[in-house]
Amino acid sequence: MLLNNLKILWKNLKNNKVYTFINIFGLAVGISASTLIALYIHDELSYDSHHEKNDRIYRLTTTLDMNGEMDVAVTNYALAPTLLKDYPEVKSYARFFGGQQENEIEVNNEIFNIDNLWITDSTVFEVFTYDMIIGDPTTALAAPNSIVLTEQLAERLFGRTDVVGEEFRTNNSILSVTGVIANPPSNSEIPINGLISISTLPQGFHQTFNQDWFRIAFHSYILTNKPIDTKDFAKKLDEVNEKYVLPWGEANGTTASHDYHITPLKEVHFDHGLEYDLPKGRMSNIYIFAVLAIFLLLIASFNFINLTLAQQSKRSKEVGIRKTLGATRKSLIVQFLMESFVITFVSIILGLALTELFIDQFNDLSAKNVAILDILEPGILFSLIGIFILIGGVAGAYPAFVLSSAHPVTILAGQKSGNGRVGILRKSLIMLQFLFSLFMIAGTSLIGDQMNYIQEKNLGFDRENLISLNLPSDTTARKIIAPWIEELKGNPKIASFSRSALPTGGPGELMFRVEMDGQLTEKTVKTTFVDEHFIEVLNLKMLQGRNFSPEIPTDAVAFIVNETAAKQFGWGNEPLDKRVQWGLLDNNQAQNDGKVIGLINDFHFMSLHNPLEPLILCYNPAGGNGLSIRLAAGDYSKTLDALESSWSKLLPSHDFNYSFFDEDLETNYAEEIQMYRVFSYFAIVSILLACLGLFSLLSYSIQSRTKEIGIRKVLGASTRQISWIIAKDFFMLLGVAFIISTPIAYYLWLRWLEDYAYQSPLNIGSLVISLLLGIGLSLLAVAYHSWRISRQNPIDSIREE
Amino acid sequence: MIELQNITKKYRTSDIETTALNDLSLTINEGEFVSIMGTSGCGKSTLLNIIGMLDKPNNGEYKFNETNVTGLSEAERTALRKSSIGFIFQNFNLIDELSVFDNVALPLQYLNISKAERKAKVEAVLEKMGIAHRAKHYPSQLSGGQQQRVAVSRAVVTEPKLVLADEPTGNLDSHFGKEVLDILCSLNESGTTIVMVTHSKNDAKYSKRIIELYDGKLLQSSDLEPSIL
Repeated sequence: MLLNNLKILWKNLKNNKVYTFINIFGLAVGISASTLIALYIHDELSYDSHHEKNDRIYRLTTTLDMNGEMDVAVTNYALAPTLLKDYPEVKSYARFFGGQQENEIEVNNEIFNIDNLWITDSTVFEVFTYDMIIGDPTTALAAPNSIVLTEQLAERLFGRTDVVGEEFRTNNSILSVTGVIANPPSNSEIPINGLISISTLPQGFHQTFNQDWFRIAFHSYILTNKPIDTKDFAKKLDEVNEKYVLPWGEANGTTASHDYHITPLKEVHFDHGLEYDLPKGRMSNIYIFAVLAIFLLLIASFNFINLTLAQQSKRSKEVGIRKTLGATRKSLIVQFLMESFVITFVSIILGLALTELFIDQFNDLSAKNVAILDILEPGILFSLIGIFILIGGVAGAYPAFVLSSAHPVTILAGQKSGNGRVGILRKSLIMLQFLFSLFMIAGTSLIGDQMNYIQEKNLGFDRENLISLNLPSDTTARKIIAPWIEELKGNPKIASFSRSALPTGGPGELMFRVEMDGQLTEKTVKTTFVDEHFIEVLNLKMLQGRNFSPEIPTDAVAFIVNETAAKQFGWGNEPLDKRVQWGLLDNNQAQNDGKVIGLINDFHFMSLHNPLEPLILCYNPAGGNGLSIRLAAGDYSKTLDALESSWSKLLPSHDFNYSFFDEDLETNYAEEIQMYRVFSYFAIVSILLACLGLFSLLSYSIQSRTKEIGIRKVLGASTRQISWIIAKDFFMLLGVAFIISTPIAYYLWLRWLEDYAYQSPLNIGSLVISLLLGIGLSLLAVAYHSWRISRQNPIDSIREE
Repeated sequence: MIELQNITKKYRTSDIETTALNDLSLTINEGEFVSIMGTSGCGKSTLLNIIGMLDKPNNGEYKFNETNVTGLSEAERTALRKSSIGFIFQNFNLIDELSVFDNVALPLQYLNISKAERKAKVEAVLEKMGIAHRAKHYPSQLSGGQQQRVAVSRAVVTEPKLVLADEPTGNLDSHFGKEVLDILCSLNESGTTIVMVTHSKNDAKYSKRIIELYDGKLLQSSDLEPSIL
């Protein structure tokens, strides 16, 4: 009997090739797309889960109050060791310092610029789980000038991984490789290329940082003996504050204060909004992707269920004959359910094959590194089993339980049973499909509006044709390259240049005293050190006063501020000559005490997630490590080739590493751009799936109304009128879906925009386009079917029936 | 009214060609009641479809009321058909989802007649056919005879010059069959031309002329004595 049922299933599938394809392929695409998204979500939610003690590791952060609060992802040097000393539940700690900037490493006379080299405690291997392939984790970082490399970095520097004992030079010190660890998973909170022993730092550094509770620079983690209640532990952090920090602040005459916070490692990846933090994920994106996966799966499932239901009338005759010949209801139920489950199973297998096929493209698109075997994670595996049971069960249930219950005489007499209920179910499912698709079209276009707004917004400076590059850090190389910099002055291909770094990702901060209401007040303010060409290179506007000048000695302690600074410091239209200090000493004294000499226009030196902030430009005529160059109009690639060629002649060991500033700015929005790209692609998949379903359902709808259409044609209905009869139900459903989906998409968009200080205005056109796109695609399907009908002789239609 | 000159209609499948009408010529004048008879597959229905402009001949010329139909486009034929011809089918061909009223009103709708006028015309024709009390019913709630009356109502509601009836009594018992034939006679008496395909010699006797087809050719055309009626 089973074999017989399978034979019938195979024949049915073969006889309806187009619908079989749409049914199986449609569901497979839906399953594949939602599986990829599930893998993405799993990857995001499993950050740092590879650390064996992740349930006992906690991150420490600081809220710094210096006439304005600021949450930072780092702490001072002494906090973690103090907690270990004073609280027995703390078992160990690990601090990470200085890994965010690039370091020059010289191996065999070749220079490599490497980031994510972290200075850390020797106890890092006690707290975190890193797979030490070569070396002893208990001693690897005990001695000064020790470094543990990842396999990847070892390969890059030396072309092999057995490099323990090798030495290389970086930042004027020699480091010795004491261990090699396996590459940590990509979903690690702290990206690591290498770990340098903290004892490598000079003794003076330890003393200075250990004594100063307000020098905040360390990403600090503690390991506890067992999982702790973070709310309880927060009180202990307050105790530390009262016991150590406040007395130190009073003794050193500072008005600033601290608050410490503790976050379980498992929650760190989504703990965003802190300054000096590493890139973070957003829960809002997880929710968006979860909704996307569910929508895709539902659209594909609805297609599957709809098509199965649509075919039921074709099968009713078979049921009638089978029942007449003695088939029991039970055997029919088994037959229909088995058919449904077999097709669902085949679709899931095909879906997983598609997942494997497209996983590399997906990883490129989403900047992830997920693998097909991750589906074996219980959450994803059980979801797939659930999908199998749910879709197979629902699609098979109606024919299994309703058709099989009909009386054979009724069926063979041609009377339809239960079509009204099926019709309502099918229409509801189509309406929901439209709803999900329109929601995604609207979502894509609204998110796209914000992306365009960000990329096209006037930032207050000219971001085009601007490149930035880092100069060598060692003094010898800097001397060698000095003539190259001098030559830029006479180069007609260079419009201007400045010995200042461009403020990609936001400038640093300093503690200033600024004149407010006639008194000097401490303020932490964004600042950047620039030369006299900086304003010209960025095309900033000098609104009042003048630029820095090397001819005026007092400019060494002069300042230029932006409009927001003048506003927030209460200077109104008279910012010039206001007093500013930095390098603060006691009694309103400071190492640098000068006046404001100029006011520049506000410009967005940070991402548009943040509102404009006060900015103080300090003068550094000698220049720093950064070089900013505005290229003159022309063939940029030729200019850059020429610059690189002359650079390489002088400094062959140092790469000419430049980047375009507008591209650097985009890294501020990398997460959104990635999210938008993934969202757009899957929105297209969802729309195609919905269209596939609509197309086949229209075809079924026409088939079931063949006689009616034939009669109408005989009576004089035109093709247009016939098309409208077919399409009007679908358009009505489309209209209802639009009315429901658009406000929801708009509301969620507004919530999503809350993360941005600058938001694109609502573009009604985007929403209208989503409706028109939906209608347009439906029209295409209707037009095709209308064209087919118009070619059919109405008498044949009537006879077919 | 109807002039068919050397009409040939062939149907082709992948490997078989069937000649349904073979060089057939026929004239039907206005006001006639013509029965087309013949064995199954002799081309009766094909002839009716060509007369009703539902199908096109492969060869030959068809003039309807002096208009050469052969060269008309699909839209032009549809326009001519809906204003001049009514159809009655053996299996009634009513739309199950529409009420009796809406079924009858359908051809008027396609002639863009106003709602008020539609209502008046449909009510009048239903009254005339004796089924006005069934106006709100659906086809499935009616007997076969009643369904055919609805189909006849629908065919004549536009007051066409020509009514084509394809085995109109084929699905009815003799009592209901006679009722339908009486209605057709009455329509013919009021000036409507009727062309009826039938297998039944008895039904054919209600017409004024019988055309017999055999293998797609006109076998004979004989006028009937009025006394037979």
